Amino acid sequence: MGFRGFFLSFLLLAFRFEVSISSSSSLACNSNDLKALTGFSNCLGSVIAGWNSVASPDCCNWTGVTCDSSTVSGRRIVGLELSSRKLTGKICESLADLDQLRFLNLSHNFLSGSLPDDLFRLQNLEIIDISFNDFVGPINGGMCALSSSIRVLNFSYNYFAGELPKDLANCTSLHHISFHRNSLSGSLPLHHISFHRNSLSGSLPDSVFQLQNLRELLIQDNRFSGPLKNGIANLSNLEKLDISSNLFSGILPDAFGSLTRLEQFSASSNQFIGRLPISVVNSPSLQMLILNKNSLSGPINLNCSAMKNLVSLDLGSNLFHGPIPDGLSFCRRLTVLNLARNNIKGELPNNFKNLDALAVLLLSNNSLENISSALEILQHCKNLSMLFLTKNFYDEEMPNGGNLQFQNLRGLVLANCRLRGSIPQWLRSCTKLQLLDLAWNNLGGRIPSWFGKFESLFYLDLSNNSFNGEIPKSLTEIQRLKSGDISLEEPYTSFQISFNTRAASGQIFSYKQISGLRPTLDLSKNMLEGPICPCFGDLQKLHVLKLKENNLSGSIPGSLSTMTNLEILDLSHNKLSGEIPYSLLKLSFLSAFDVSYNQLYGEVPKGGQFDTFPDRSFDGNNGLCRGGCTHESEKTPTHSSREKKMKIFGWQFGVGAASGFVLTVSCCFMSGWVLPKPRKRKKAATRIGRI
Amino acid sequence: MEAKAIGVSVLLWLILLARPLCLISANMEGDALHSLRTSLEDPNNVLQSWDPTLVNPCTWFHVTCNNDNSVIRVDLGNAALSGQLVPQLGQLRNLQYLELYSNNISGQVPSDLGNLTSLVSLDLYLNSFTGPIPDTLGRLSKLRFLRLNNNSLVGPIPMSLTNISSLQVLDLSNNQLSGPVPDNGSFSLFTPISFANNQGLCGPVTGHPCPGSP
Repeated sequence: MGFRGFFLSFLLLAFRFEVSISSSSSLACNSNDLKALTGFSNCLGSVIAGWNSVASPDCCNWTGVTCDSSTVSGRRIVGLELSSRKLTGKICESLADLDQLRFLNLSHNFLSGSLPDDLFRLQNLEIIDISFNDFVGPINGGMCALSSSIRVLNFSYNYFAGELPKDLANCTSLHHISFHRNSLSGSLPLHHISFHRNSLSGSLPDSVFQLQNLRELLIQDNRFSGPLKNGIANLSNLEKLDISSNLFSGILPDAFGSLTRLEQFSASSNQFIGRLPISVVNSPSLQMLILNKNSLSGPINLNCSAMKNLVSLDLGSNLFHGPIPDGLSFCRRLTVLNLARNNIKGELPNNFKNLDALAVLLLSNNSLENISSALEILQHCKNLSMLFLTKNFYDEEMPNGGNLQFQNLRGLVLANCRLRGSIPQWLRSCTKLQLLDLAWNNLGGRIPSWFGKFESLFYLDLSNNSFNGEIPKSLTEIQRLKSGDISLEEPYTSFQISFNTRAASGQIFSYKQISGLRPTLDLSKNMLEGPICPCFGDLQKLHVLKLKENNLSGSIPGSLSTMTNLEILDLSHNKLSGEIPYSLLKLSFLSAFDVSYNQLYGEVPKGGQFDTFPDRSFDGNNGLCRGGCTHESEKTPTHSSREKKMKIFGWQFGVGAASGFVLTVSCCFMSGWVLPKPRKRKKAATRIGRI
Repeated sequence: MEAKAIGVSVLLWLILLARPLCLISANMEGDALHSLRTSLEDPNNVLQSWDPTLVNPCTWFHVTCNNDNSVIRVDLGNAALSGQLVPQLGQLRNLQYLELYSNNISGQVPSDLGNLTSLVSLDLYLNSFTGPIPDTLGRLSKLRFLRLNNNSLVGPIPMSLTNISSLQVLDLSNNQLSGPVPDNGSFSLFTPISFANNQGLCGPVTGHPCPGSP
């Protein structure tokens, strides 16, 4: 995606440069061109500033217009670049009268209707970019019948429907073609390249395998099915092959030996079975091998002495078994390794110490053992930045040695392991930490005050443990949550790994970057006590604050109203007393608010966001009333929140808790919505809330 | 037992069929919101996380989805936004709360908002909207809060609004509306405060009798 964007802008830039060299002539624009341009402008629903034939008769000076240096009949328009100008309306036929037009960029506007039939009559057109508009209708053929010069066609992010034009196959000069995110259907008529996010179906036609010069075949996000045929071996110039998110099945063909230039192969989210082909695990050219979310099995038998260029390996969510092979550590350039959600057992191999380049390691949801040894080994990987170990090491003790050092660690996800012990001292050295998830363990003791020194930390989940004592005030001193004014390195922008979180409801959220997560402080379901410090008001960059199911007491500080970015505030199931401060009406982004099962009284604030919260947000409080206090609400029986909680959260809670993982950054995959959704827990919780 | 097996297989098929549809609709919703982003000016970068290349908009800040990954809330009150709304907002079929109050948004209220039949709260107050109140808002049969006050809306109050039996809070004050104020249907609940400071309104609730009425 990024590469393509870059490629395209490079082409456009190249054009501008070439043209601007020759545009020093003082001649005015050709009168036919002026007429055509005026006609084009009349069909638009919006006025383009600077387009006025009275004030400025030379249309070559108009915004976005590029002319050449013809002298015979005035300068001719060769380029029209009106990207991101909020244009509305239609493109009318008169555009096709600009017969010298070579590049047309109308991307990122609100243009609608269908394309004029005559658009492809323009014989000189080389670049058409009409992506990100609201165009509809079929794409008419003929684009390469007359013009042999078309090089770039970008029709992506529109609403084009119907079959792909058959004669695309005639477009011999085409370098770059992009139809992704439309509603096109039918079978693939041709050769080139990017059709992702459509509904193309059927098997991949054999004719594709005759395109021996093809360098990129990107057909992800369609509905192609059947096996990937051996014919793929013919595409010996292929550098990039992406067939992910289709319905391909069967075994992967052992046909990669002849693809000596293949650098990137992605087949994630298909239905491939069987073992990794010998020719794949011996490829010296592969840099990126992405096979997650299939049903591949067998041992992981990579031959790292052959795969010298491997940088990114993603085998997550398959059925691989056995131990993590020792040999992986000979892939010395390996930077991203995802083996999460397989059936891998045993300990981390000792020679993982040698993986100097390793930056992102995902091993969640396996059956790994001996966390002490694993951490001891991994601390030698000096570039390790993101470490995901959720759902391994069950019931082990959290290593607490002060000698462990992870100086570059930015994200640690070690949730749902039932780990015993307390917050380890060695975490103190992880001064670059941005994300820490230790939820769903059996950790106890106090939350240390040195957390306040993590100036980059913006996502902290310690929920579902047994932490006690007060919430340290230093949590409100975390710089990133106070001002956000901290420059940060995104750990792995260039590797296209995304990761998921699973909410209480079972919803799976997919992120491409760590910074896509909402800044969060989740201390729910512990045994924390004492008041909520008014100093929480300092956390102006915090979006999610969850303190539910603790023993917090005192009143809700009015100063929480200065947490201006707050979207979610959950204080339910505590022992909070007093009234809900009216100042919370200032929290205009607040979309979820819960104070149920406390000892609050008085009137629920009216107006602002508060009108949009459901009644259950306020249930189970003594004398809290909504919409004009009447004596009726005083009759609501009261329980101390703990009593109530203990009564309610009996076996149902156990069942619910076992079947879901609450806001756990559970695992890490490429882009995942195929995981089963455990919804039971949410439903149980809702039911409980209403008793 | 067999009936159960059949039931389960039918269910599985339905899930298989429905999943791609969900995916597509979530994409459409992301596209619709992305259009909104493009059309708004956002000096504080409140919409920075609205990345249209994500599978759906559910991880975008200030957007809330239900369990089927369909958008149910957009909470952008007091966010220093200007620019205009887009008709594509009408594609958010499950939207319940549209909170855009206290901004500087201008242009017309799109009539496509009438397609948002799940809407419970439409809060566009304290903005710079112009033009009429769309008649289509009368289709919002679940609406409880309709607050369009403190804008520059003109024209009549659509009679269709009186059909919304769930309406609890109505505020149309501080606009430039004109014509008779309906007093039938759900409007029988509302007092002069809801209509105050609109020079052109008439009818019993305003204290200005309409021309031709007794």
